[in-house]
Amino acid sequence: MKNLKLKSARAALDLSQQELADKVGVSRQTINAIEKGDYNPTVNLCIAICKALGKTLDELFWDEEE
Amino acid sequence: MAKKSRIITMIVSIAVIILLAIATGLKNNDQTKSISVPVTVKNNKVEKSLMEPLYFNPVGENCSYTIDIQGPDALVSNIKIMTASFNSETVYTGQSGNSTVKTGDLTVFDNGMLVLFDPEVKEGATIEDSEYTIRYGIILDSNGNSFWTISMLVIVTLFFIAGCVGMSFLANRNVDRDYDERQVKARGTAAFNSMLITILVALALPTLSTLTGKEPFEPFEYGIIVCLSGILVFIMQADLNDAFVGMKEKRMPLAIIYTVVGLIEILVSIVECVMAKSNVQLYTMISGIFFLAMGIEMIVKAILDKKEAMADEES
Repeated sequence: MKNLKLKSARAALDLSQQELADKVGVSRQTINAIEKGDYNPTVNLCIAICKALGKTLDELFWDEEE
Repeated sequence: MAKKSRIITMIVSIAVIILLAIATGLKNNDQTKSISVPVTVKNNKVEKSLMEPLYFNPVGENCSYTIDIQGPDALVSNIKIMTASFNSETVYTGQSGNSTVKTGDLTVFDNGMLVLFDPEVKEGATIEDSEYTIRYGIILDSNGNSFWTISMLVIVTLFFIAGCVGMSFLANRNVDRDYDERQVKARGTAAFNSMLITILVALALPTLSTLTGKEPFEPFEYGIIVCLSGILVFIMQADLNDAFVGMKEKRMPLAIIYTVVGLIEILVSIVECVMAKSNVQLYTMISGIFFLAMGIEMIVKAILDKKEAMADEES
C-alpha cells in the first residue's frame, strides 16, 4: 500500500527523495520503495524518517483504516 | 573492519587465480592410459561388443598419440581418433596389429579427444574360437603451449578485472559505500538465489550431457559457466534492487566498457568458431555474454534510476 502521508510530509518540507535519503542515511531508492509501499521499513528507520520530517510515528506510519 | 576483510578477500582471490594460472602453465601435458579389452572370436569373426571410447584432454593446438597394441597375431585393431566437440571431426584413422603406432601431429585446437578401437580378424588369417585379450597402451603428448593458450587468458582477464576494480575504487573513493537495511536484505536474497542458480546449473549441465550423450563443453568451460551464472544472478539481482555491487556512482563509463568488451569477445569467438570450425573460443563467448549482460543491466538500471529521480523532482 502506498504511503501517501510520507510523500506529502516530505513535499510539505520541499524535500526531494534524495535529500530525505541523505538526511536519514539511506539510499534514494529505499525512500522511493517505502513511499510506493514496496518495502516495510524497520522501526529504527521509521523513527529516523519521523525525526527528519518532524512528525510522529502515528502521523506517518499508522494506518487509520486498521 | 569491513574494509580490511574486503582487501584480504581481494588479495586471497588474486593469489589463488595467479597460482591456478601458474599451475596450469606448469602442468605436464602428457597423459597415459592403458586398457585391456576382452575380444570374443566366433567362426573366425570378432563378435562386436560395445567399447567405451577413451577420453583425452590435450592442451594446445596440436597433439600426437603413441599407441602400443599387444594381442594375438591374427587380430588387428582399427583406430579412430576424433574430437569430442559438438561438431566432432575425425582427425586420425588407421589399422594396426601387434605394434606401436605413432599418429604424428594432429591439429585439435584445445578440443577434448576420443580414441576408439575396433578389433577384427586380420585378412587371410585364421584364429580359433575363443576369448582373447588385447592390451592398448596410449600415450598422449600435447605439444601446444598451454601457458599461452589458457593461462594467459586467465591473466589478461585478471588484469582487466583488477583494472575495473581499481577504477571503481578511484571513482568512488569519497562515496559512502555502506548499505542501508533494504539493500542488505536485497543482497541476502540475491545471494540465496545466486546459490540456487549455481546448484541448478551445476547439476543441469552434466544431466543434459548424460541424457543427450553429447558433451558440448570442456570441464573447465563447465566450471566457468557454473561460476559466472551464479555471479551474474547475484550482481544483476542486487543491482536491480539498488544494492549496488562495486560502484555506487559514476557507473556509466564502466557499463560502457563492459558492453564493448562483451561485444568484442562475442564477435571474436564467433569469427574464430567460423574460421577454425571448432569451439576453441567458447570460453571467450561465455565471458563475453557475462560482460555484455552486466553492461546492459547497468545501462538499463541507470536509465530507470534517472527516470525515477526525474519523476520525483517533477512531482
